[in-house]
Amino acid sequence: MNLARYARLYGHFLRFSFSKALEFRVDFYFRVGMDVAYYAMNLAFFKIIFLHSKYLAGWTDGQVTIFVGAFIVVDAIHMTVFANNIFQIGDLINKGDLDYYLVRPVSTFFFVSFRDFAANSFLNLIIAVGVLIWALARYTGALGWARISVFLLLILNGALLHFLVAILFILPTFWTHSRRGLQPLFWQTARFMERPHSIFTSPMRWILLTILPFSLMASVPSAVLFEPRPGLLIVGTAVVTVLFFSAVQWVWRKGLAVYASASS
Amino acid sequence: MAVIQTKNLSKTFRVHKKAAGFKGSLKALVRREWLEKSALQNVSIEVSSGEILGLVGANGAGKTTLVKILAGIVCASSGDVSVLGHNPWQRSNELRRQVALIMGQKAQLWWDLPAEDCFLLLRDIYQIPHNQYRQNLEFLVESLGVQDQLNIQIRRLSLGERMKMELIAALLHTPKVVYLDEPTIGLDLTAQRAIRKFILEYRKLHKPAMILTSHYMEDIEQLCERIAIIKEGKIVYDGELSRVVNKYAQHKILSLEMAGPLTDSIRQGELANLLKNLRAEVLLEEQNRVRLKVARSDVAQVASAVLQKIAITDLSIEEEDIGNIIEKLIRRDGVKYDSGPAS
Amino acid sequence: MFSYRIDFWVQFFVSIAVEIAIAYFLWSSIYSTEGASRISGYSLSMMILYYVFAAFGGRLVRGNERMIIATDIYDGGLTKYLLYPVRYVYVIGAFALAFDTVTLLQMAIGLSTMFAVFGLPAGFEFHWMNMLMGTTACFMASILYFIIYVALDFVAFWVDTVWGLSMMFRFSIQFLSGFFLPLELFPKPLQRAIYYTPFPYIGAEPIKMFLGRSSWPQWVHANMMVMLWIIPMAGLMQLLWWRGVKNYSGVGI
Repeated sequence: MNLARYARLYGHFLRFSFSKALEFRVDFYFRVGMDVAYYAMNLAFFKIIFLHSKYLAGWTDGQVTIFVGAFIVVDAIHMTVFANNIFQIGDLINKGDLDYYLVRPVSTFFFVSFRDFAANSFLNLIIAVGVLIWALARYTGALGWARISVFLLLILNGALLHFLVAILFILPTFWTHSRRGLQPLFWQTARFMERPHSIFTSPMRWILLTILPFSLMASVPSAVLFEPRPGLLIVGTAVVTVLFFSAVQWVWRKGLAVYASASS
Repeated sequence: MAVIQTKNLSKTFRVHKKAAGFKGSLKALVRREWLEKSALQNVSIEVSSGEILGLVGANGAGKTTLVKILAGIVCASSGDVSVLGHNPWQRSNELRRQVALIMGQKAQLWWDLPAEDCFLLLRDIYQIPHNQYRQNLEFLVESLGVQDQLNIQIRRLSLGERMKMELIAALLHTPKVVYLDEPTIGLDLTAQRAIRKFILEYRKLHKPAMILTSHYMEDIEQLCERIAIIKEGKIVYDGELSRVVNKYAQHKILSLEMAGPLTDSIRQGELANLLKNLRAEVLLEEQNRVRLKVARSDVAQVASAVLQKIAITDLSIEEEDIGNIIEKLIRRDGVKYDSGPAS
Repeated sequence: MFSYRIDFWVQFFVSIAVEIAIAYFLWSSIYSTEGASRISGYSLSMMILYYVFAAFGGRLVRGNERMIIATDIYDGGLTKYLLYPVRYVYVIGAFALAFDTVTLLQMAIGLSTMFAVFGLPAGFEFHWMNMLMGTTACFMASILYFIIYVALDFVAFWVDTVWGLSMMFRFSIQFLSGFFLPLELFPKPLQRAIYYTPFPYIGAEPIKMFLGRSSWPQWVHANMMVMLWIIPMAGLMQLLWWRGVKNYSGVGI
């Protein structure tokens, strides 16, 4: 019941976004160009490395291509569903524009996270999914359907986790009132997502699996396809996601309390 | 029963104090100094349904803070707040469904969308049944006269039209409590008048409890029977608008229409004589008209003296302008007031 | 203001550290699985050093990419510059130069800290001459990059958002000029093709100078190539500016 209601609200957001996107057509083409360049560059990067090495931290060319497909899908989901919203949170907080969201009888967090869907990135999402399907299709090893389903679920989870971590970097603006929070730091550290986690040695590997869980967004989901025993990876990913979700909720509530006592 | 009720409500902000310049910033990094700033002190008000309480005060007096506390956006530091029996700070959906907030300074509608798209979103946010939604929308759109603007993007509307859309957006769900924070700010006179007329009409029909803040005295005079004057965070007057005059107006205005032209002999003779013994001063003299400012207690005396000694064709007694009185009251250097409720 | 500067320095060093750390882990893993001591002529430590100089040199070349111009055009801020008796491009250029100076300082701090902590990598000899060659080549390159970048931003005269266009350009340039991978690793035909473009002189060549793999004649050649590309690009930029200002609606005048 509640879910259906939020789905309907999201339907409005989608409609708004698509009608707006039609107005800025050139931007749409630029965005497609930008992401295609980004995808091609990442594929080429690993292709060139495989000209000089047969394996990358135990992964074959085909496996790494699937991994690249995975992280560009996570990136595309982020750009399409979350990025615009996260970008605006700082302004909402600092200019006091949360006011109207707070008086509505729906979750403010839902509104703030989802209201601006980027229809102009939607084609990029389709292209990214295409790349992933292509990577899976050309893979020569065995892939069971069960594993593929888990893999796809974990990619969606990865996108969620990516959003959660991203928002944790912007929420400090409740206290600091800087316009972008720690967002630039997020953009920089997020690049850890673009490399397979097996190249990292501890303690870096453990950091990327826990407190800065960039490896859990695309690399670990891909590993689940190939690892002989992926159970621990799946459970670990779920636990970390739940923890991050709770952390975000907690910080959000604290932040709102500060917002409430500081605004006038 | 009061719909909105506060008791000894206080709010203090902590602002962080920083010395100017680079050195100040450096010091603030190590140790921040905080200043307690009191925004509201012991505010107790009540508003019942069908009533519009006018909240009057200078900039920074605490009007907006009070409205935000009542809307659940800001939490109070101490005291009790109850809106429809809820504590607004808990922001329960049940309460939020019955409340509307309109801020003239801040848009709630999305810039790039036509108003009607926003209204549809609000329909789903407030879960308004379709029939009721259609009825409400029709009524609101008609009484504000914006039928033709519904499908135009908000950013292409005039300020007045935009404000009307904001009002519709806020009232679609027939709230029982409405907060209007400067709803007419920046609008031209025609739009102001249309909005005032609409608010009265809406009140007659739905009888919500309303709180209105405005800098325009005309808004206050025409919409509110009751006002609360807030000064530096304290309520200094809470009562009927008309009583403000009785209580704080010290003068009345006497207008005289002379039978003949106002000659020097009359001015220096009868008129000067008359004013010598009484507390009255000449505000304005024209061809054959004189306006006198007279202390309230002396009005009868002055009037009868005038009638006896000067040949006049007409005499009228007016109250001092209410807006002027209130403005004097809320100014920092304004007249002294006593703190008890108006009698 | 002060906290903004702290942000700025933290961001700079964090982004450099992330870049170098990723390169370090990636290449350590590749060299160890291959058991190779050299890939395309690079030992592991030289490879990592390549990325160190790519990170710092890249900042010098790219400067402050904040899309000031596109924003100025979009929100009407450009109008005030049209009234000032200075040319807009010079104003932006002066900002860029000031920014590069700060970057140079950051680079000096970063490199000396790194060398002090980790020591000089095996096979690398520090020569002031190499640093001078690399830095000057980077400055030349930054002029070219700046001009291309400004020209792209001027597209905002016709379109509301050029963010996508600008990002596309950044990705491509960084890849083709060897900021992500040394060009020696690219397939030979691709390498040859890239050397017909200005891109190697923006990244790979200056980095090689820092590493001490270039001679003075190569330095002269690289700078000549950059200058050769600056001329048509500056022409294009000027053309876009003239056309654009004519077209400029002066939002909010």
